This record gives sequence, C-alpha cells and structure tokens, in this order.
Amino acid sequence: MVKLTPKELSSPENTEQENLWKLFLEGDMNAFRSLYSAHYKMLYNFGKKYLPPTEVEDCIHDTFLNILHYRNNIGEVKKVKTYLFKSFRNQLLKTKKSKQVEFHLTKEINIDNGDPVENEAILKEVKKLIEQLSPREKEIVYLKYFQNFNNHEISDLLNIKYQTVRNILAGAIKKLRTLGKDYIHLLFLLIKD
Amino acid sequence: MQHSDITIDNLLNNDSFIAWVISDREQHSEYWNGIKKGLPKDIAETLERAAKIIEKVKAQYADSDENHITSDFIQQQYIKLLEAYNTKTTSPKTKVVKIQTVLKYAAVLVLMLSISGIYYYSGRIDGAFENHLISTTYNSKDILIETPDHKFFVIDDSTKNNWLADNGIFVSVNNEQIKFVASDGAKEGLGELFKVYTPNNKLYHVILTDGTSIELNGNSILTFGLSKEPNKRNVALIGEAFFDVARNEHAPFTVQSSDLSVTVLGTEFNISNYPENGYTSTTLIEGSVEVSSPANKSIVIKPGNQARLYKGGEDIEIQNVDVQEVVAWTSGRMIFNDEKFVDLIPQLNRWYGVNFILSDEELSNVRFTGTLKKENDLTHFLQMLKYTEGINYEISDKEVKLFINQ
Repeated sequence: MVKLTPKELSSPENTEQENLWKLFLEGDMNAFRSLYSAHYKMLYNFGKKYLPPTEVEDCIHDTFLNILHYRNNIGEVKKVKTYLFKSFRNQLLKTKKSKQVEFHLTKEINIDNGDPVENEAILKEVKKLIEQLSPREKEIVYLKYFQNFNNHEISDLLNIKYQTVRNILAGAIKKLRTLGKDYIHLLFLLIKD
Repeated sequence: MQHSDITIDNLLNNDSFIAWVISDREQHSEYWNGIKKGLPKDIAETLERAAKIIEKVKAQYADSDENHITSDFIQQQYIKLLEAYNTKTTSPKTKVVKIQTVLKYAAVLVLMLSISGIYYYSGRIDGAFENHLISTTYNSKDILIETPDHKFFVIDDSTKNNWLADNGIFVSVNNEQIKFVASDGAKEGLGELFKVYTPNNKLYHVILTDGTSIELNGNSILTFGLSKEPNKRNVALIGEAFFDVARNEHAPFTVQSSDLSVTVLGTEFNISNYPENGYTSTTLIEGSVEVSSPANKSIVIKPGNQARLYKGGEDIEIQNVDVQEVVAWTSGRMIFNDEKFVDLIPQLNRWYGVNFILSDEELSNVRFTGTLKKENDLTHFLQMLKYTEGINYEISDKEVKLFINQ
C-alpha cells in the first residue's frame, strides 16, 4: 500500500492555522481571534462527548485563557488543532478530577437528512455498533473519523503510545467493517452510483 | 494505490481517504476521484462501502443541538474571554479625589431632576459601532456620541452593551461610561475622531485605549481618537473634564482646550473652559503638567495649582485653589467657599439648566458657602435661598428671576 507522507496530507487549511498561530505568538490578536473562531465548534463538539454543555463552554474559555496567559512559554506547534484538542482535553479532565470522565455518544438520535433511501435500520445498526465500542475505542474512532486526526496525532493527544492507538483502532475497524455487509439497501445505493 | 490494496481495512486506516470522505469528498479529491475512475466494479464497491462506513460513523458523532453555536455566540464567548483576560492583567484604576471630607459643608435641599430622552435599542454583537446605537436627532438632554463619519448616537439609561469592533477594539458602553480596550493586535489607522457630547447636568466617563480615564462634566464636548500609535495621545475639550492620564513616559498626552494646551506624561488634573467662563483653567491634582499658551509661553504647575489663560490673553496666571472644590462636580456636588453670587451664576445656570437673573444689584455681592448636591433640584435651592437668605424668586420657562424680599 502506498503510504501518503504527512506533508502530502497537510491540507492548505492546516498550514493556514499554523501561520495564524505564529502571528499570534508574535502578538497579533486578530490571528488569535481567528484561531478561536475557527476551532470553537470542533472543540465544543468534542467536549460534549465528555461533559454537559455549560461546562464545555467553561472549559473552552479556560483553555484559551491559559493560552493567552502562557503564550510566551508555548512556542510553535506542529499542528494547532492537535495542540488545542490536547490542551482542551486536559482542561476537561481537570474539571472533572473527582468524577470519571468518559467519552460517550450524545443521547440524541441523529436523523440523516440527506438520503431518503437509507432507512433507520442502518442508522440504528451504526449506533448499536458504536455503542458496543469501549469508551477508548469510541474516542479514537471519533478523533479519526470525525476530526480526521492521524494516529500520531491521536497518540500525542491522548498521551498513549502510537502502537496502542493502532491496536485499538484495528479492533474498532474490525467491528465497524461488518457495517452494511448485510444490508440490501446499502448495496442498492452502491450499485446506483 | 494498487487495486489489491483497496480493502475496507486499508481504507479505514488511510488518513487521506478519511479526509476525502469526511470533507464531503473535497480534500484530496483529485487523487481519490482519479483512483475511483479506473476501478473494476467490485473494487469500486469496496471503496464506496468504506466511504459509507466512515460517513455513517461521522454522522453518529455529530451533535444535533449544535445550532446555537452560531458565529454570534462564538463572538460573545470571545468577548467574555477578552474581558476575563483584561481584568486579570490590568489593575483597575481608582479615583483619586476623596470627596467625602468636604461633606462638612452645609447640605442644601432636595428635588429630583427628571432626566428625559429615553431611546431604546437592543444590542446585537457584531462588528460595526453603528449597529449598537440608534441614530437620533439632536436632543440636548441626551449624551451623544459622534462617530468619525459624523453620525450621532444616543446613550440612554437602557444602553448596555459590549462588542468587538472589526478593528480589534473592544468597546463596552452603558449610560455611565464608554470604554475602549485595544486588544494587542488591534489594527492601526484608528486615528479618526470620535466626539462625546454631554447635556446639561449629565456626567459621562470615557476610558481610552491607553487606559486614560476622562470624566466629562455636563455641557461638554470631548474629541478623541483611538489610535494605538504612542505619539498620538491627543484629545480636545470644550467644557469641563477630570483627567486621569495613564502614565507613558514615551508618549505625552495632550489636551487642547481653547487656546491652552496641557501636556502630561501621566497624572490627574481638571480642565475647565466653558465659553461663558471667559478663561481656560487647568487644576493639577497629582504629578506635574505643562501648560502652554499660543504665544508659546509654557509653564509647569504643581499639585494644588490652577493655571488660567484668559481668552485672547497671552500670560498664564497661576493661583492656589481648593482642589476638592474644583473637582466636586465629579461626585455630583458644587462646593462654594465664601464666593460672590454673581461669580456662581454661570455654574448654577449649567447645573440647573436655567438662566438666573439677579434683579437687584446688591444680590451680586451676597456670598455663599456650602455644598449643592446633584440630586437636589432647583426648587429646593430656591426655597433655601428664600428661607435662609431672604431671596425671593420667580420662575418663567427657563428663566429664574431673583430679587430681595420686600
């Protein structure tokens, strides 16, 4: 399998964020504001998997406040998104030191708004599958397939070994790949394409 | 990617493939669309199934209640962040003048002045200054702000708002003060001039980006810019104001008021140049200031000194004054210490928003000692004159005639 190098993987959007970060470290508050706005929703979505909304808002606030206060000690970062997620996650864990913080799916059932052909059975199946994953698996699957982090970034973010990320992901993929196998609807969709 | 590499497992591990799928097939699309084209049907199906799995999983993690995270909401959160950051890093300025000690003077009477002119606006958080204030026709009872493009906006009792202007200046405004905070990266080129107009009998507090605090007395106009450039700390004043200038050795702060220009590095002083006074006065409370006249005569004054430049004059006169008396207005008082009635008339006219007329010549020389409070209204003042001094009054419209009781 041809591996794509990280350089090829970096999207223009990423390097843009890293440039903004550099400007921010030089004292450009407009750059900081852009970084804040660009990442707010992602962090919020992520935080909601651990804590209730108001606490998530507080954690985002504290994360950025710390960045402002300690910016002279931070320096450049390889990827802003990873750095922010890591700091934010640490903040989440700090907030709930006493309680156990666990990654979970938010309760609402998501209705896919796009495709009328797909029926609820598939959605339910996916939900069931994800719910069967361990919290760690859910977390890594989320970071991988929702936030698009690579394994190195996930290992950095969760502060676990690279190989551990790979192993957990492999286990999760094994469960996920059964998805859609038995569903005629889904196959029908594929053929239609 | 070889065809044989296209398996569910490989694809679900391929970050480029994942990026392509979850970006709605926008990122890396050239590569993956290219691959997809040449695939036999069964392998194409595998690829599509891997994509479907990722899409379904992604959909499960999306929050359905994220709709309130609008750009407005994020902006508000950002302002909260800046507020928190600014309160932690800048020490609040305390007002210097200890006015309480002057309360030993006899208090006078009471009545409330009704302050009218209620306009309403509801504030939304967005960039433009104008969007936070409602345009108004000139009404001498309102505090007004004039923007650089000469639009007038009213500040009333319901005004309360914070927002971040497009240029990075954080503005918070209510019926007592307007405060400008430059975030570190605020853009330059903010030299355009703002003006604040106060009506009779209303004070307003202006806090500039350098931290300088300016308390504006009634009937006054302050002109200022928001430039971050240090050599541009200039304001202009007509009326009266108390200045607490943030110290900056490298950037002198200059107030132009009538012909008198006052230059300081950081200190507290009061300037008064109501046209009816016929002179501009600068009273120093703390530190030192340099005052200069158009004739290029400049002089450094000390705390407790008052420098006066009469209209059309060249020489600056220095005298010692009671500082508490001079700045009493900042806490809603007028203090008189054995002063001639006739000299008080301009101040009383401004204070009560009427014209006093002394019908009897001898009234001019009646002397006053005492404190008038803002919350005490005209009728109370007149009643006091009647019962303590035997001075009678007649009110018609905006005119108050005073005469000696026969």
